[in-house]
Amino acid sequence: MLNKVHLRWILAGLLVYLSGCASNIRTMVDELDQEMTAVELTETPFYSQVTDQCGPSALAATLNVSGVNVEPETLKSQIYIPGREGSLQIELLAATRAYQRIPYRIDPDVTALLAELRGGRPVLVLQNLGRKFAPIWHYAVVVGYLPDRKQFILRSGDQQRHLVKAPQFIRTWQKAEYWGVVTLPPGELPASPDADKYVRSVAAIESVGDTISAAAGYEAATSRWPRNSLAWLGLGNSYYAQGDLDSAERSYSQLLTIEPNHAVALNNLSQVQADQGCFEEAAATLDTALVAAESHPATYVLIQKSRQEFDRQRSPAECDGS
Amino acid sequence: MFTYLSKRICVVAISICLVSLPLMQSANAAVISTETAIEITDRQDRIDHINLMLSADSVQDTLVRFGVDPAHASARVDALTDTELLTMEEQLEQLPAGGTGVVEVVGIVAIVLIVLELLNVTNFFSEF
Repeated sequence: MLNKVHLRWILAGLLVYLSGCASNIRTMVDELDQEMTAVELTETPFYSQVTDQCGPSALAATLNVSGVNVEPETLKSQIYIPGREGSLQIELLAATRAYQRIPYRIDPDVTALLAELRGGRPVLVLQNLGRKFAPIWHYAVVVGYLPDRKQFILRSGDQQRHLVKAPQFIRTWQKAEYWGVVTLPPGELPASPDADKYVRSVAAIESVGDTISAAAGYEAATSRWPRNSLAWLGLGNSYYAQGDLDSAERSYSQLLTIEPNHAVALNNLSQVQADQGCFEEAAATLDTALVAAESHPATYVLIQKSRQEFDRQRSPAECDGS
Repeated sequence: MFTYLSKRICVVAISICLVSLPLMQSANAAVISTETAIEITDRQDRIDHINLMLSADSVQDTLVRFGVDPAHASARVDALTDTELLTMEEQLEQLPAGGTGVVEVVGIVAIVLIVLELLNVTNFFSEF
């Protein structure tokens, strides 16, 4: 008898079967054949790790290189959770942001890894030194690669210059889903940046309230990708949060020259105009925003709220033209 | 005397804070944050992506054969929460990319049915 439970198990089994994907370690090793010149960031500091505290040691090294003066001991209290015998990736990212640095997750391949090294940036990586079903998580810093020996150079555990054969490193990295992060000073772009991923990394630091770093990050993004609407929106929002209405207005307007019907930009621009006392203009912009959002229910609801708020706050003050 | 004075100062300071707090919040209540803008875009992208997969003829045929109205399934997708959408998309992402072979079609249909079923949107499995 095929009952509901059985069918669920059959379908779940099918899912597991379908999701098993081919390993691409071989491809990565082949990619490394194209790397001819050795690279080693000898300046990267080394902190010998205390038991189970590879996270703080590795993060301190990458933060130091990005110009932040901090020791693992200080980071330990922020990221080390004794109960979990290690620090979670999310906390490493959060700690990075707390030091006004933008963490950027590199593309999951050796080409991206080497590009960062050649750009002078060590890469904080997560490795699984155990098995897939019995993981032993470990954080290390990749500082170099030797093509003639096919070896990566890591700051790892208690070894300042740990040499690992490429296939072995890639295997441990693969079992950690190729998690690798560079620590960027605001305004600096990674070696091979993906526009959307970079802008989202900046948005993350904006959302924790560091609008100064965020603005620098968005500025870099808008110079590199002048048509990236999210970067312009974030830039406007960061300036607005800092109380810089003129810069906020400029950013939103720039976005609207690229995408005249960007409902969120219109909504936010309208708020700037209202703050400047230009209520007629603000009301008109908000009306345009509502029309632009007609086919996007989620945005429409938000703009409708803005409209109600606007009507509630509206005072008879004249536009001062500023 | 000094304590009395500092107490008074404290009370006044706190009162000012409390009174001005709602004003400060309402000043930028209307700005849509970057985070929210990203969430809205992601949601729409997920819905579009899932609906695109559901729109393939072979998928529609299979859904019909299982007794599910494709339009109904699609409308239900719109009503999922962000987390539910994410779950469904993650499952779909794990399917072998490209092509609309039998394996992929069965995979897509299975995922859609399992997710909608687990969320009690359909009651497909309870008919067995």
